[in-house]
Amino acid sequence: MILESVVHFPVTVVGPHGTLVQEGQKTGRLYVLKSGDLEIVSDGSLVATIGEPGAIVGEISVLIDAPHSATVRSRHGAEVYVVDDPTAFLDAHPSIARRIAQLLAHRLQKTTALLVDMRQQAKERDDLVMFDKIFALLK
Amino acid sequence: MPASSPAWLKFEYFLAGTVVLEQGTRTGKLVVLKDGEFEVIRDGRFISSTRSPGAIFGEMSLLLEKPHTATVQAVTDVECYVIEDALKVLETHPSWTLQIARLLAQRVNNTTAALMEARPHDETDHGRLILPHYVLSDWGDPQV
Repeated sequence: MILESVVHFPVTVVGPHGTLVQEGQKTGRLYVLKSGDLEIVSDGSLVATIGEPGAIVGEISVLIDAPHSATVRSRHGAEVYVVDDPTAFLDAHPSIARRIAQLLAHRLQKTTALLVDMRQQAKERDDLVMFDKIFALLK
Repeated sequence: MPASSPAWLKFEYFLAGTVVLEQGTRTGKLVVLKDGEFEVIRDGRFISSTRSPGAIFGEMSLLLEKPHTATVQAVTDVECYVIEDALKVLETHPSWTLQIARLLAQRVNNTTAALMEARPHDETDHGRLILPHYVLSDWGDPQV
């Protein structure tokens, strides 16, 4: 669905170990993987590998009008469609806008659940530390 | 309702205490606060409240095509807009979808930043919690 809509957009080629987008850079563009692989690197560590043609990259940066929060590079090389005017593109393709909103909703659900888990674990750890301290005082 | 409002945007007035969206149900509705105060309650526990005009409710259930994960209740008398069968409306109003996508993107960005902060930066960081790699790769679409 997404690939069909971008088939006439320009393609950029990222060589092996090449970089598509630099963390902190603001491109204002949306990228759609045509072939190959992309790696998402945040703050020096690999957070995701994408190999599925049609995967969208850069949507958060575009939507919140902020710099990219991660670097996108390729290990073995990739071909990527470049959407220069994402707002016009999404306006013209409501189903893709909806798909992106759905992906974001899924991700929000997961990140929120993880955050709640982590806070709960952190709290339990703090409780444990507190218990240790109190126990040490009692010894 | 102002004369300029489209048919799919229904103005509604709820008395204080009215449950507008109920946890566990699927309404297909989007509710947009105009004036008054809503609170969000999950499993009987207060989660948050808002008085911000323009605040949207029901979007997660709508987009995930799942029941509402929380109850939205009017604290004061509330004026709001209700969009019934909102998925259909979104399909024909991409600018609305984009607006919701923007809000979601902001929230994903915030929660991801909070997660990243809690993530270890080196192997010696024993006190930290480490997300298994499969969790992050399972997110599939990249966080950029």
